Amino acid sequence: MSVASQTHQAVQVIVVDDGSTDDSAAVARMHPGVKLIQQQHGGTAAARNAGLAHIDAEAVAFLDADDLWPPESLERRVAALSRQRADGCFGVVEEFGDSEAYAPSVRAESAARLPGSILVTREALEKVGGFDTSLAAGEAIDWVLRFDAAGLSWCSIADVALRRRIHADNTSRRASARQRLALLEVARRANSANRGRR
Amino acid sequence: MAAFAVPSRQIVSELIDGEAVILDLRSGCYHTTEGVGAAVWQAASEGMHGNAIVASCRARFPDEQGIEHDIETLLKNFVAVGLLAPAEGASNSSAHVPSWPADYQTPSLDSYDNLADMMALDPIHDVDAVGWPSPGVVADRG
Repeated sequence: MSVASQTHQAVQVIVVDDGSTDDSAAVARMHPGVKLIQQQHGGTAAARNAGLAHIDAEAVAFLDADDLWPPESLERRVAALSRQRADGCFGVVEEFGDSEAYAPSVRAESAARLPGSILVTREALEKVGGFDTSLAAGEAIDWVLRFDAAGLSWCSIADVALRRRIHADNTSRRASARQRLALLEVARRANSANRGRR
Repeated sequence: MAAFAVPSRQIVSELIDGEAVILDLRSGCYHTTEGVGAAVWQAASEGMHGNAIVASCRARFPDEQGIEHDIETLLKNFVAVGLLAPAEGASNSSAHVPSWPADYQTPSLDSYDNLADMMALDPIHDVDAVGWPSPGVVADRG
């Protein structure tokens, strides 16, 4: 588990099992100090919100079950967040595949504000609120938009913060039309925010 | 002018209260146009020929000058940012009659990339048995 291999040890590790059918829950129980929350297919947003309800650390990072953090990911984000006195920090996302047929994305490495690559203060979380469970996709993008709309600040690191695994079981894959429409809703909200700033 | 088509199913749009919001998941950019521009987008994305769009607009706003230039410019902008591509063939007769606004204002297209870093990392993957992306089509994610 890449969380356990971090050079900066998290003060709190919360695992949300959203009805998985593999041995994820059993693996989580094997690690002392890990708090396991189990729910039945609430979706990604609900799972993250369930975890957030138990946070008492000063800063929060997210990691999906099929992704990885390089060993110094958390250390570098924590250091940057403290040094820059920002409300959130993000790093580079590197995509990799576990299929022999995988060809690297033309955007295999880029700094991006994905849940697995960000670290945000608990204070910022309290201002922004939880993830929107009504969205079939883009709930994290919507969350970042609300973060920006709250006037909160970001800093970034040039290092890889997240290694994002691309494979057929990635939880981002669902019915294309429904997810695309959800992302369109996120874009519409972003446009409304743009208009409000004019 | 030509007829047009939306070149990728990674481009999604909606038209609400006279404003079109168009999201291009390939780039992560979204674009907006309202009023006359939204009506042009609606018609062109459904395959209506540029000349037919101009004719419809002229019929709605007979006293306006410069309609052909404005619409041609807007269509060129749609093509330039990849939202439309010229299409062969006649105008799509089943395209809806454009919903022109009450008043004519020179149409424009606004483009935004503030979500691109997140959108462009492909939150949705259409994966087949081979995996994503398929070999040999790395750059074509349409």
